[in-house]
Amino acid sequence: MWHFLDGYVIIQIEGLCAARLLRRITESGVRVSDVRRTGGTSVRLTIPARRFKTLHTLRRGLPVRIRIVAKRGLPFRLLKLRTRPVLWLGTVLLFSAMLILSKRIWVIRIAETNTVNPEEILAALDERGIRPGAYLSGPILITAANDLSAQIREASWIGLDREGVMLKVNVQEALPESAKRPSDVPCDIVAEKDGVITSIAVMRGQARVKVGDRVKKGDVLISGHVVYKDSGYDTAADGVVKAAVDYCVETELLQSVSESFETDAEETIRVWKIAGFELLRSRPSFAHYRVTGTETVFASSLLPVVIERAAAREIGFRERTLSGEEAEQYSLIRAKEQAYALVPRGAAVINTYGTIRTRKGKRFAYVIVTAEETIGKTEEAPHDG
Amino acid sequence: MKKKRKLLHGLLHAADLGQDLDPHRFYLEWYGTDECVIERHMGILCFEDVRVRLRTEQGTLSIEGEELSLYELTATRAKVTGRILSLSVEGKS
Repeated sequence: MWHFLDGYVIIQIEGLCAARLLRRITESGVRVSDVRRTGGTSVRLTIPARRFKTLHTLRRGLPVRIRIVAKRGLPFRLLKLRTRPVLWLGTVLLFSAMLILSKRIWVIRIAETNTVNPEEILAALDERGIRPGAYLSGPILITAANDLSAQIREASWIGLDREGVMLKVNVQEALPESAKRPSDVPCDIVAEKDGVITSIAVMRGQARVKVGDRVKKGDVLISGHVVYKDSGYDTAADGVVKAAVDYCVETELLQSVSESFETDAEETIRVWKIAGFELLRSRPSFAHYRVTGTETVFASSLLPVVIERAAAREIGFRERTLSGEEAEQYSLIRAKEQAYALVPRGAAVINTYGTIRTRKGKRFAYVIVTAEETIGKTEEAPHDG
Repeated sequence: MKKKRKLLHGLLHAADLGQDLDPHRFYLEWYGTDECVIERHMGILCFEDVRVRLRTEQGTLSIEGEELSLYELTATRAKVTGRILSLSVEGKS
Protein backbone atom coordinates (compact mmCIF):
# COMPACT_ATOMS: atom_id res chain seq x y z
CA MET A 1 0.00 0.00 0.00
CA TRP A 2 2.84 2.39 0.85
CA HIS A 3 4.34 1.62 -2.52
CA PHE A 4 1.06 2.58 -4.14
CA LEU A 5 0.71 5.81 -2.15
CA ASP A 6 4.31 6.80 -2.83
CA GLY A 7 4.22 5.88 -6.51
CA TYR A 8 6.67 3.56 -8.20
CA VAL A 9 8.26 3.00 -11.58
CA ILE A 10 8.94 -0.35 -13.19
CA ILE A 11 12.11 -0.05 -15.22
CA GLN A 12 14.15 -2.30 -17.43
CA ILE A 13 17.92 -2.12 -17.38
CA GLU A 14 19.53 -3.43 -20.52
CA GLY A 15 23.24 -4.01 -20.82
CA LEU A 16 26.08 -6.16 -19.59
CA CYS A 17 26.64 -4.19 -16.41
CA ALA A 18 23.12 -4.45 -15.00
CA ALA A 19 24.39 -6.04 -11.76
CA ARG A 20 26.89 -3.21 -11.29
CA LEU A 21 24.18 -0.62 -11.72
CA LEU A 22 22.05 -2.55 -9.24
CA ARG A 23 24.90 -2.39 -6.74
CA ARG A 24 25.27 1.35 -7.29
CA ILE A 25 21.54 1.86 -6.82
CA THR A 26 21.42 -0.05 -3.55
CA GLU A 27 24.58 1.59 -2.27
CA SER A 28 23.00 5.00 -2.82
CA GLY A 29 20.28 4.00 -0.36
CA VAL A 30 17.51 3.29 -2.82
CA ARG A 31 15.27 0.35 -1.98
CA VAL A 32 14.48 -1.67 -5.06
CA SER A 33 12.10 -4.58 -5.29
CA ASP A 34 10.85 -7.28 -7.59
CA VAL A 35 14.18 -7.63 -9.40
CA ARG A 36 14.05 -10.31 -12.07
CA ARG A 37 15.93 -11.26 -15.20
CA THR A 38 13.94 -10.75 -18.36
CA GLY A 39 16.66 -11.80 -20.73
CA GLY A 40 20.34 -12.57 -20.96
CA THR A 41 21.37 -8.95 -20.46
CA SER A 42 18.24 -7.27 -19.14
CA VAL A 43 16.83 -6.89 -15.64
CA ARG A 44 13.42 -5.60 -14.65
CA LEU A 45 12.90 -3.96 -11.27
CA THR A 46 10.68 -1.62 -9.33
CA ILE A 47 11.99 1.62 -7.91
CA PRO A 48 10.29 4.43 -5.93
CA ALA A 49 9.15 7.19 -8.30
CA ARG A 50 10.84 10.01 -6.38
CA ARG A 51 14.23 8.23 -6.63
CA PHE A 52 14.00 7.62 -10.34
CA LYS A 53 15.93 10.76 -11.28
CA THR A 54 18.99 9.58 -9.33
CA LEU A 55 19.40 6.77 -11.88
CA HIS A 56 20.77 9.22 -14.45
CA THR A 57 23.74 10.06 -12.27
CA LEU A 58 24.22 6.48 -11.11
CA ARG A 59 24.41 5.04 -14.60
CA ARG A 60 27.23 7.34 -15.66
CA GLY A 61 30.12 5.39 -17.14
CA LEU A 62 28.14 2.16 -17.47
CA PRO A 63 27.07 0.87 -20.88
CA VAL A 64 23.46 0.31 -19.86
CA ARG A 65 20.13 1.55 -21.14
CA ILE A 66 17.23 2.30 -18.80
CA ARG A 67 13.71 2.04 -20.10
CA ILE A 68 10.52 2.80 -18.21
CA VAL A 69 8.09 -0.11 -18.47
CA ALA A 70 5.26 1.28 -16.34
CA LYS A 71 4.42 4.05 -13.90
CA ARG A 72 2.17 3.03 -11.08
CA GLY A 73 0.71 4.44 -7.88
CA LEU A 74 -1.42 7.28 -6.59
CA PRO A 75 0.71 10.24 -7.81
CA PHE A 76 0.49 8.99 -11.42
CA ARG A 77 -3.24 8.34 -11.15
CA LEU A 78 -3.80 11.85 -9.82
CA LEU A 79 -1.65 13.20 -12.62
CA LYS A 80 -3.92 11.47 -15.13
CA LEU A 81 -7.03 12.82 -13.41
CA ARG A 82 -5.64 16.37 -13.54
CA THR A 83 -6.22 16.40 -17.26
CA ARG A 84 -9.89 15.40 -16.87
CA PRO A 85 -11.73 18.48 -15.60
CA VAL A 86 -15.16 17.06 -16.42
CA LEU A 87 -14.54 14.17 -14.03
CA TRP A 88 -13.57 16.58 -11.26
CA LEU A 89 -16.59 18.73 -12.04
CA GLY A 90 -18.82 15.65 -11.93
CA THR A 91 -17.37 14.58 -8.59
CA VAL A 92 -17.86 18.05 -7.13
CA LEU A 93 -21.41 18.18 -8.48
CA LEU A 94 -22.17 14.72 -7.10
CA PHE A 95 -20.91 15.58 -3.63
CA SER A 96 -22.76 18.89 -3.73
CA ALA A 97 -25.95 17.08 -4.77
CA MET A 98 -25.49 14.57 -1.98
CA LEU A 99 -24.91 17.39 0.50
CA ILE A 100 -28.02 19.24 -0.63
CA LEU A 101 -30.22 16.14 -0.91
CA SER A 102 -29.12 14.82 2.46
CA LYS A 103 -30.69 17.87 4.10
CA ARG A 104 -34.11 16.82 2.83
CA ILE A 105 -36.58 14.13 3.81
CA TRP A 106 -36.87 11.28 1.32
CA VAL A 107 -38.49 8.51 3.32
CA ILE A 108 -41.36 8.71 5.82
CA ARG A 109 -41.69 5.66 8.05
CA ILE A 110 -44.76 5.39 10.26
CA ALA A 111 -44.78 3.12 13.30
CA GLU A 112 -47.31 0.30 13.06
CA THR A 113 -50.50 0.89 15.04
CA ASN A 114 -53.87 -0.80 15.34
CA THR A 115 -56.17 2.18 15.37
CA VAL A 116 -54.41 5.01 13.54
CA ASN A 117 -54.56 4.93 9.76
CA PRO A 118 -51.11 5.67 8.25
CA GLU A 119 -52.78 7.33 5.24
CA GLU A 120 -54.38 9.83 7.60
CA ILE A 121 -50.99 10.67 9.10
CA LEU A 122 -49.42 11.03 5.66
CA ALA A 123 -52.23 13.32 4.53
CA ALA A 124 -51.90 15.45 7.67
CA LEU A 125 -48.13 15.68 7.16
CA ASP A 126 -48.64 16.63 3.53
CA GLU A 127 -50.98 19.49 4.55
CA ARG A 128 -48.08 20.90 6.58
CA GLY A 129 -45.62 20.57 3.70
CA ILE A 130 -43.90 17.49 5.12
CA ARG A 131 -43.53 15.13 2.20
CA PRO A 132 -40.63 13.31 0.47
CA GLY A 133 -38.27 15.94 -0.90
CA ALA A 134 -39.21 18.64 1.62
CA TYR A 135 -36.59 20.64 3.47
CA LEU A 136 -37.28 20.52 7.20
CA SER A 137 -35.82 22.03 10.30
CA GLY A 138 -36.28 21.21 13.99
CA PRO A 139 -38.97 23.82 14.92
CA ILE A 140 -41.21 22.77 11.98
CA LEU A 141 -41.13 19.17 13.15
CA ILE A 142 -41.98 20.07 16.75
CA THR A 143 -44.93 22.25 15.66
CA ALA A 144 -46.14 19.61 13.19
CA ALA A 145 -45.93 16.87 15.83
CA ASN A 146 -48.02 18.94 18.25
CA ASP A 147 -50.59 19.75 15.55
CA LEU A 148 -50.85 16.09 14.51
CA SER A 149 -51.32 14.94 18.11
CA ALA A 150 -54.23 17.37 18.41
CA GLN A 151 -55.71 16.59 14.98
CA ILE A 152 -55.68 12.78 14.96
CA ARG A 153 -58.10 11.61 17.63
CA GLU A 154 -56.96 7.97 17.61
CA ALA A 155 -53.48 9.03 18.68
CA SER A 156 -52.71 10.46 22.10
CA TRP A 157 -49.21 11.53 21.07
CA ILE A 158 -47.30 11.73 17.82
CA GLY A 159 -43.56 12.25 17.65
CA LEU A 160 -41.57 13.17 14.55
CA ASP A 161 -38.01 11.99 14.67
CA ARG A 162 -35.58 12.71 11.87
CA GLU A 163 -32.79 10.25 11.11
CA GLY A 164 -30.76 11.42 8.13
CA VAL A 165 -33.07 11.44 5.13
CA MET A 166 -35.72 9.43 6.97
CA LEU A 167 -38.57 10.82 9.03
CA LYS A 168 -39.81 8.43 11.68
CA VAL A 169 -43.36 8.96 12.89
CA ASN A 170 -43.88 7.45 16.33
CA VAL A 171 -47.49 7.06 17.37
CA GLN A 172 -48.88 6.47 20.83
CA GLU A 173 -52.41 5.15 20.45
CA ALA A 174 -55.15 6.84 22.44
CA LEU A 175 -57.20 4.93 24.99
CA PRO A 176 -60.71 3.92 23.93
CA GLU A 177 -63.48 6.44 24.49
CA SER A 178 -64.86 4.42 27.36
CA ALA A 179 -61.56 4.62 29.17
CA LYS A 180 -61.46 8.38 28.76
CA ARG A 181 -64.98 8.97 30.02
CA PRO A 182 -65.16 10.42 33.54
CA SER A 183 -66.49 7.98 36.09
CA ASP A 184 -69.08 10.37 37.52
CA VAL A 185 -71.31 10.35 34.38
CA PRO A 186 -73.61 7.28 34.48
CA CYS A 187 -73.46 5.21 31.32
CA ASP A 188 -73.79 1.66 29.95
CA ILE A 189 -71.61 -0.41 27.67
CA VAL A 190 -73.76 -1.60 24.78
CA ALA A 191 -73.10 -3.94 21.87
CA GLU A 192 -71.90 -2.23 18.74
CA LYS A 193 -72.50 -5.32 16.59
CA ASP A 194 -74.29 -8.66 16.68
CA GLY A 195 -72.17 -11.53 17.98
CA VAL A 196 -71.51 -14.25 20.53
CA ILE A 197 -69.74 -13.16 23.70
CA THR A 198 -66.30 -14.75 24.04
CA SER A 199 -64.96 -12.81 27.04
CA ILE A 200 -66.11 -10.11 29.42
CA ALA A 201 -64.07 -8.13 31.92
CA VAL A 202 -66.04 -5.71 34.11
CA MET A 203 -64.12 -2.90 35.72
CA ARG A 204 -67.11 -0.82 36.79
CA GLY A 205 -70.84 -1.56 36.64
CA GLN A 206 -72.71 -4.85 36.44
CA ALA A 207 -72.47 -7.47 33.67
CA ARG A 208 -75.74 -8.16 31.89
CA VAL A 209 -74.39 -10.94 29.64
CA LYS A 210 -72.10 -13.92 30.08
CA VAL A 211 -69.70 -15.82 27.83
CA GLY A 212 -71.60 -17.74 25.15
CA ASP A 213 -74.59 -15.36 25.04
CA ARG A 214 -75.73 -14.21 21.61
CA VAL A 215 -76.19 -10.44 21.61
CA LYS A 216 -77.66 -8.01 19.14
CA LYS A 217 -76.57 -4.51 18.29
CA GLY A 218 -77.71 -2.14 21.06
CA ASP A 219 -78.01 -4.79 23.80
CA VAL A 220 -76.64 -3.66 27.17
CA LEU A 221 -73.51 -5.62 27.95
CA ILE A 222 -72.37 -3.90 31.14
CA SER A 223 -74.94 -1.79 32.92
CA GLY A 224 -74.10 1.40 34.75
CA HIS A 225 -76.97 0.75 37.13
CA VAL A 226 -75.63 -1.51 39.85
CA VAL A 227 -78.21 -3.35 41.92
CA TYR A 228 -77.13 -4.78 45.23
CA LYS A 229 -79.76 -6.54 47.38
CA ASP A 230 -82.67 -4.08 47.50
CA SER A 231 -80.79 -0.88 46.63
CA GLY A 232 -78.93 0.35 43.58
CA TYR A 233 -76.75 3.16 42.33
CA ASP A 234 -75.65 4.58 38.99
CA THR A 235 -72.07 4.62 37.77
CA ALA A 236 -70.09 4.89 34.53
CA ALA A 237 -69.88 1.32 33.28
CA ASP A 238 -66.41 0.29 32.24
CA GLY A 239 -64.93 -2.91 30.92
CA VAL A 240 -63.88 -4.89 27.89
CA VAL A 241 -66.36 -7.16 26.14
CA LYS A 242 -65.20 -9.33 23.27
CA ALA A 243 -67.44 -11.26 20.95
CA ALA A 244 -67.24 -13.50 17.92
CA VAL A 245 -68.70 -11.48 15.07
CA ASP A 246 -69.67 -13.02 11.72
CA TYR A 247 -68.87 -11.25 8.46
CA CYS A 248 -70.89 -12.81 5.61
CA VAL A 249 -70.31 -12.30 1.91
CA GLU A 250 -72.33 -13.82 -0.93
CA THR A 251 -71.22 -13.43 -4.52
CA GLU A 252 -72.55 -14.86 -7.73
CA LEU A 253 -70.36 -17.55 -9.28
CA LEU A 254 -67.76 -16.21 -11.69
CA GLN A 255 -68.00 -17.36 -15.30
CA SER A 256 -64.56 -16.22 -16.39
CA VAL A 257 -61.36 -14.73 -14.93
CA SER A 258 -58.79 -12.33 -16.22
CA GLU A 259 -55.43 -14.10 -16.41
CA SER A 260 -52.03 -12.49 -16.75
CA PHE A 261 -49.39 -13.67 -19.19
CA GLU A 262 -45.98 -12.45 -20.34
CA THR A 263 -45.88 -11.04 -23.86
CA ASP A 264 -42.69 -11.05 -25.94
CA ALA A 265 -42.18 -7.31 -25.49
CA GLU A 266 -39.18 -6.41 -23.31
CA GLU A 267 -37.52 -3.13 -22.38
CA THR A 268 -34.50 -2.25 -20.30
CA ILE A 269 -35.02 -0.14 -17.21
CA ARG A 270 -32.49 1.49 -14.91
CA VAL A 271 -32.64 1.99 -11.17
CA TRP A 272 -30.53 4.58 -9.33
CA LYS A 273 -29.96 3.91 -5.65
CA ILE A 274 -28.26 5.99 -2.99
CA ALA A 275 -27.28 4.30 0.26
CA GLY A 276 -29.64 1.43 -0.50
CA PHE A 277 -32.65 3.68 -1.10
CA GLU A 278 -34.20 3.78 -4.52
CA LEU A 279 -33.93 7.32 -5.85
CA LEU A 280 -35.02 6.99 -9.45
CA ARG A 281 -36.44 4.27 -11.65
CA SER A 282 -36.94 4.57 -15.38
CA ARG A 283 -40.40 3.41 -16.48
CA PRO A 284 -41.06 1.17 -19.47
CA SER A 285 -43.79 2.06 -21.92
CA PHE A 286 -45.99 -0.84 -20.69
CA ALA A 287 -48.76 -0.32 -18.19
CA HIS A 288 -48.11 -3.69 -16.52
CA TYR A 289 -44.74 -5.38 -16.40
CA ARG A 290 -42.53 -7.76 -14.47
CA VAL A 291 -38.93 -6.96 -13.63
CA THR A 292 -36.38 -9.73 -14.18
CA GLY A 293 -32.62 -10.17 -14.46
CA THR A 294 -31.42 -7.29 -12.32
CA GLU A 295 -27.71 -6.63 -12.68
CA THR A 296 -25.45 -3.92 -11.28
CA VAL A 297 -24.09 -1.55 -13.92
CA PHE A 298 -22.22 0.78 -11.61
CA ALA A 299 -21.14 0.43 -7.99
CA SER A 300 -18.41 2.32 -6.23
CA SER A 301 -16.62 1.57 -3.01
CA LEU A 302 -16.08 5.32 -2.47
CA LEU A 303 -19.63 6.54 -3.14
CA PRO A 304 -22.87 4.95 -1.91
CA VAL A 305 -24.29 5.09 -5.43
CA VAL A 306 -25.49 2.02 -7.28
CA ILE A 307 -26.98 1.88 -10.78
CA GLU A 308 -28.82 -1.27 -11.71
CA ARG A 309 -30.15 -2.48 -15.04
CA ALA A 310 -33.09 -4.84 -15.36
CA ALA A 311 -35.36 -6.24 -18.02
CA ALA A 312 -39.04 -5.25 -17.84
CA ARG A 313 -41.31 -7.80 -19.48
CA GLU A 314 -44.79 -6.72 -20.48
CA ILE A 315 -47.68 -8.41 -18.73
CA GLY A 316 -50.86 -8.84 -20.75
CA PHE A 317 -54.31 -9.93 -19.57
CA ARG A 318 -56.82 -12.24 -21.22
CA GLU A 319 -60.22 -13.57 -20.23
CA ARG A 320 -60.53 -17.29 -19.59
CA THR A 321 -63.83 -19.16 -19.26
CA LEU A 322 -63.90 -21.24 -16.11
CA SER A 323 -65.03 -24.82 -15.76
CA GLY A 324 -67.61 -25.67 -13.09
CA GLU A 325 -65.11 -26.67 -10.39
CA GLU A 326 -62.75 -23.81 -11.17
CA ALA A 327 -65.62 -21.32 -11.01
CA GLU A 328 -66.53 -22.55 -7.52
CA GLN A 329 -62.94 -22.31 -6.28
CA TYR A 330 -62.30 -18.86 -7.77
CA SER A 331 -65.64 -17.54 -6.45
CA LEU A 332 -64.99 -18.85 -2.94
CA ILE A 333 -61.55 -17.25 -2.92
CA ARG A 334 -62.96 -13.92 -4.08
CA ALA A 335 -65.78 -14.04 -1.53
CA LYS A 336 -63.29 -14.87 1.21
CA GLU A 337 -61.12 -11.89 0.22
CA GLN A 338 -64.14 -9.61 0.36
CA ALA A 339 -65.14 -10.98 3.77
CA TYR A 340 -61.62 -10.48 5.12
CA ALA A 341 -61.73 -6.89 3.94
CA LEU A 342 -64.74 -6.33 6.21
CA VAL A 343 -62.87 -7.49 9.34
CA PRO A 344 -61.70 -4.40 11.26
CA ARG A 345 -58.05 -3.80 12.16
CA GLY A 346 -57.12 -5.35 15.47
CA ALA A 347 -59.69 -8.16 15.22
CA ALA A 348 -58.52 -11.78 15.23
CA VAL A 349 -60.00 -14.16 12.68
CA ILE A 350 -61.03 -17.35 14.51
CA ASN A 351 -62.99 -19.23 11.87
CA THR A 352 -63.71 -19.22 8.14
CA TYR A 353 -66.53 -21.11 6.45
CA GLY A 354 -67.37 -21.24 2.76
CA THR A 355 -69.96 -23.03 0.66
CA ILE A 356 -71.79 -22.89 -2.68
CA ARG A 357 -75.51 -22.16 -2.43
CA THR A 358 -78.21 -22.25 -5.09
CA ARG A 359 -81.04 -19.77 -4.97
CA LYS A 360 -83.66 -19.09 -7.63
CA GLY A 361 -81.71 -21.12 -10.15
CA LYS A 362 -78.50 -19.13 -9.58
CA ARG A 363 -75.40 -20.34 -7.80
CA PHE A 364 -73.61 -18.24 -5.19
CA ALA A 365 -70.37 -18.49 -3.22
CA TYR A 366 -71.18 -17.91 0.44
CA VAL A 367 -68.43 -17.21 2.98
CA ILE A 368 -68.60 -16.47 6.69
CA VAL A 369 -65.49 -15.13 8.43
CA THR A 370 -65.76 -15.11 12.21
CA ALA A 371 -63.55 -12.62 14.02
CA GLU A 372 -63.10 -11.95 17.70
CA GLU A 373 -63.23 -8.25 18.49
CA THR A 374 -64.22 -5.74 21.12
CA ILE A 375 -67.88 -4.84 20.61
CA GLY A 376 -68.52 -2.72 23.72
CA LYS A 377 -69.48 0.90 23.14
CA THR A 378 -70.18 3.45 25.84
CA GLU A 379 -73.61 4.97 25.70
CA GLU A 380 -75.05 7.41 28.15
CA ALA A 381 -78.22 5.99 29.61
CA PRO A 382 -79.95 7.67 32.52
CA HIS A 383 -81.26 5.13 34.97
CA ASP A 384 -84.40 5.57 36.96
CA GLY A 385 -82.83 4.13 40.03
CA MET B 1 39.54 -2.92 14.35
CA LYS B 2 40.18 -6.66 14.46
CA LYS B 3 40.60 -6.44 18.22
CA LYS B 4 37.25 -4.75 18.59
CA ARG B 5 35.56 -7.41 16.52
CA LYS B 6 37.21 -10.18 18.51
CA LEU B 7 36.15 -8.50 21.75
CA LEU B 8 32.53 -8.21 20.58
CA HIS B 9 32.56 -11.81 19.41
CA GLY B 10 34.00 -12.90 22.76
CA LEU B 11 31.43 -10.90 24.71
CA LEU B 12 28.52 -12.34 22.73
CA HIS B 13 29.91 -15.82 23.19
CA ALA B 14 30.50 -15.34 26.92
CA ALA B 15 27.05 -13.86 27.50
CA ASP B 16 25.52 -16.70 25.49
CA LEU B 17 23.77 -14.17 23.26
CA GLY B 18 22.72 -14.80 19.68
CA GLN B 19 25.51 -14.42 17.19
CA ASP B 20 23.05 -12.61 14.91
CA LEU B 21 23.67 -9.50 17.01
CA ASP B 22 27.17 -9.33 15.63
CA PRO B 23 27.09 -6.50 13.07
CA HIS B 24 30.06 -7.87 11.21
CA ARG B 25 28.54 -11.16 10.25
CA PHE B 26 25.94 -11.65 7.57
CA TYR B 27 22.65 -13.09 8.74
CA LEU B 28 20.66 -15.59 6.71
CA GLU B 29 17.10 -16.81 7.03
CA TRP B 30 16.04 -19.60 4.72
CA TYR B 31 12.37 -20.54 4.41
CA GLY B 32 11.82 -23.84 2.68
CA THR B 33 13.13 -23.82 -0.85
CA ASP B 34 11.43 -20.69 -2.15
CA GLU B 35 12.66 -17.79 -0.07
CA CYS B 36 15.70 -16.62 1.81
CA VAL B 37 16.58 -13.33 3.43
CA ILE B 38 20.13 -12.09 3.71
CA GLU B 39 20.96 -9.22 6.02
CA ARG B 40 24.17 -7.26 6.36
CA HIS B 41 25.41 -8.07 2.87
CA MET B 42 27.79 -5.66 1.22
CA GLY B 43 26.45 -5.51 -2.29
CA ILE B 44 25.35 -7.60 -5.19
CA LEU B 45 28.01 -9.13 -7.39
CA CYS B 46 25.97 -11.12 -9.85
CA PHE B 47 22.33 -11.52 -10.62
CA GLU B 48 21.09 -14.18 -12.95
CA ASP B 49 18.07 -16.43 -13.29
CA VAL B 50 19.97 -19.34 -11.79
CA ARG B 51 22.48 -17.61 -9.53
CA VAL B 52 22.65 -14.66 -7.15
CA ARG B 53 25.96 -13.72 -5.61
CA LEU B 54 26.27 -11.30 -2.74
CA ARG B 55 29.37 -9.90 -1.12
CA THR B 56 29.62 -10.33 2.64
CA GLU B 57 32.38 -9.76 5.20
CA GLN B 58 32.90 -13.48 5.44
CA GLY B 59 33.18 -13.99 1.70
CA THR B 60 30.89 -14.39 -1.30
CA LEU B 61 27.48 -15.87 -0.64
CA SER B 62 26.24 -17.76 -3.64
CA ILE B 63 22.60 -18.78 -4.02
CA GLU B 64 21.81 -21.16 -6.82
CA GLY B 65 18.43 -22.25 -8.08
CA GLU B 66 15.83 -21.68 -10.77
CA GLU B 67 13.83 -18.57 -11.71
CA LEU B 68 15.48 -16.57 -8.97
CA SER B 69 14.40 -13.02 -8.35
CA LEU B 70 15.10 -10.34 -5.78
CA TYR B 71 11.85 -9.48 -4.11
CA GLU B 72 13.57 -6.76 -2.13
CA LEU B 73 17.01 -5.27 -2.37
CA THR B 74 18.58 -2.57 -0.23
CA ALA B 75 22.16 -1.73 0.65
CA THR B 76 22.16 -4.25 3.51
CA ARG B 77 19.21 -6.55 2.97
CA ALA B 78 18.15 -8.82 0.15
CA LYS B 79 15.22 -11.17 -0.14
CA VAL B 80 15.70 -13.85 -2.78
CA THR B 81 12.68 -15.76 -4.06
CA GLY B 82 12.38 -18.56 -6.56
CA ARG B 83 13.37 -22.21 -6.41
CA ILE B 84 16.50 -22.24 -4.26
CA LEU B 85 18.60 -25.34 -4.69
CA SER B 86 21.84 -24.54 -2.89
CA LEU B 87 23.61 -21.95 -0.81
CA SER B 88 27.34 -21.71 -0.49
CA VAL B 89 29.90 -19.33 0.95
CA GLU B 90 33.27 -18.89 -0.61
CA GLY B 91 35.19 -17.75 2.44
CA LYS B 92 38.07 -15.32 2.47
CA SER B 93 41.35 -17.10 2.63
